[in-house]
Amino acid sequence: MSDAATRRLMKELAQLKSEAPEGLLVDNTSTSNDLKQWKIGVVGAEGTLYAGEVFMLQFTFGPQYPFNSPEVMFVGETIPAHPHIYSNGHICLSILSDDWTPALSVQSVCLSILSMLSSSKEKKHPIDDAIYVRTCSKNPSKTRWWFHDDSV
Amino acid sequence: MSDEISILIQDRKTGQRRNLTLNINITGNIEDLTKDVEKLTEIPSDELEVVFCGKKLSKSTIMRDLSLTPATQIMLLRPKFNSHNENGATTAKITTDSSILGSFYVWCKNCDDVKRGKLRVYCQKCSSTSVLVKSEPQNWSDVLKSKRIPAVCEECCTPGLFAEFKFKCLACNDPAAALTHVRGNWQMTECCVCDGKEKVIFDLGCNHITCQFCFRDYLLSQLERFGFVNQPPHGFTIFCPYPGCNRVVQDVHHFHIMGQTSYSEYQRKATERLIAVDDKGVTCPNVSCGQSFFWEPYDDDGRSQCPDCFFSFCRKCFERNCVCQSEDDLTRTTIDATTRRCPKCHVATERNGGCAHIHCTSCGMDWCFKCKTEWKEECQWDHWFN
Repeated sequence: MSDAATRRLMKELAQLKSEAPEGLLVDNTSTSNDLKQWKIGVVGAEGTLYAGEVFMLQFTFGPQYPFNSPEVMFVGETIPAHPHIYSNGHICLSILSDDWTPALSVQSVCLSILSMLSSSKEKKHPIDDAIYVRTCSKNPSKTRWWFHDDSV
Repeated sequence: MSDEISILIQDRKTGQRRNLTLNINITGNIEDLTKDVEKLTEIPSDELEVVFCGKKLSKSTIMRDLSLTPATQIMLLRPKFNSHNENGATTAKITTDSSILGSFYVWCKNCDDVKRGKLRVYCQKCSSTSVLVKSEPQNWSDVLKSKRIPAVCEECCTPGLFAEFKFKCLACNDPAAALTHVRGNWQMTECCVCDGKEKVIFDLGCNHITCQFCFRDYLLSQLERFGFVNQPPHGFTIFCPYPGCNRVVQDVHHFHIMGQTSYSEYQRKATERLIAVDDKGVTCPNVSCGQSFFWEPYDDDGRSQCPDCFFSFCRKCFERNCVCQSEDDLTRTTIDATTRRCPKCHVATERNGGCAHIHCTSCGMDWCFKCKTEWKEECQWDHWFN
């Protein structure tokens, strides 16, 4: 990690712990010693298809963070079934690649993913899930996404 | 502390003109200067008006604040009558000479850095510095575009003149490019990337603050994956890093902060993109060249010669000795069969998976692969997959 990246991540972590937004399980947040990898729990919002369900998001930061986007995916036992989330945990969300800007943060990414879950109308993986999961790279950042609808 | 300055005295009462070199104390003010001149010329100091950078200076202006160099010339004017309204020139009492002082920033090629800048005013016709502006510049356009601010030149006296503004580096005095998006962080606002409170910041006019170091790193990361988008008339440029903000950098001089090597890379990549989306654009197929250029549409025989390496080739098959006639144009057929063209920039686009929402990497347009038009609400719900 570069000094700048470490400084920024430490600040983000402190902020997240002092004022955790609703829907993020900050107590469940675990970070590697070098801050390179974080795991954050998210809870589906009330009144949505995922109400009360707990999922685990994994963030991996490169040395160029925040100028390069973090690699973000769902990990663990349950991967949410959603039209933009593949069964291997990869997420099709434009701010995680093309639309990433260094002014975004772990918190803003988590909130975007939560809002993506909230607006889903159907619990179902993308149509091309089977072929994507078989052929994709391990790192979702390497995927050249054709973004599905941002509003879901 | 003493400095040598050059002054020009225009005595309208006697019609005389004199050039003088004077040793002045740079911590002194304009009043001290006029008194020094009185000793040498016997012109009463209260009859002298000091003109610098198009303005009459107030008596209390400190000499040091003018950022003078040995080459700078100051004009002292003794009006014919003791009137302050001659020629309709600005007589506004100047309390702060902020536009003369370095309150803005420039890209200095010589220092290879962002530096504080100073604004200098010249006669548009004879380039003399002995000019008085008739109105104060109010914004960047007034100083960056020509013929905005009327002026009177004491040197050539041509009627209907305009002032010409130039920027110089405060550190080395070389001419420099004004950076309109860079300013001092007066309110000590936090950078939207690092939360730091740096002194010099970028603000694209949207009040989203990015410090110059984060802005440089942002540019470099965008250069790596060429995130610059063509936004006429600004060319290939970049959005404000603040999420969702659609302000762009309006002048490529700001990209110099990436350093010379990266700036050249930006220029090369932007040219390649532009050529790729232009019908008249072509890139030289000679492996050791790769120069991009526009071909002339008149007397066209389908061949072009690279203006750089003089390699002559067929624009269809890119071979020196055209093979278009002897072979089927399989490449073209394949491209036509497997791609659709972006409705805005016409770049051939292949869809090898995913949904029908295409974000053009060439021009930034969002379009529907199914409708071949702009991505609409209807596509959002019905055209993800076909």
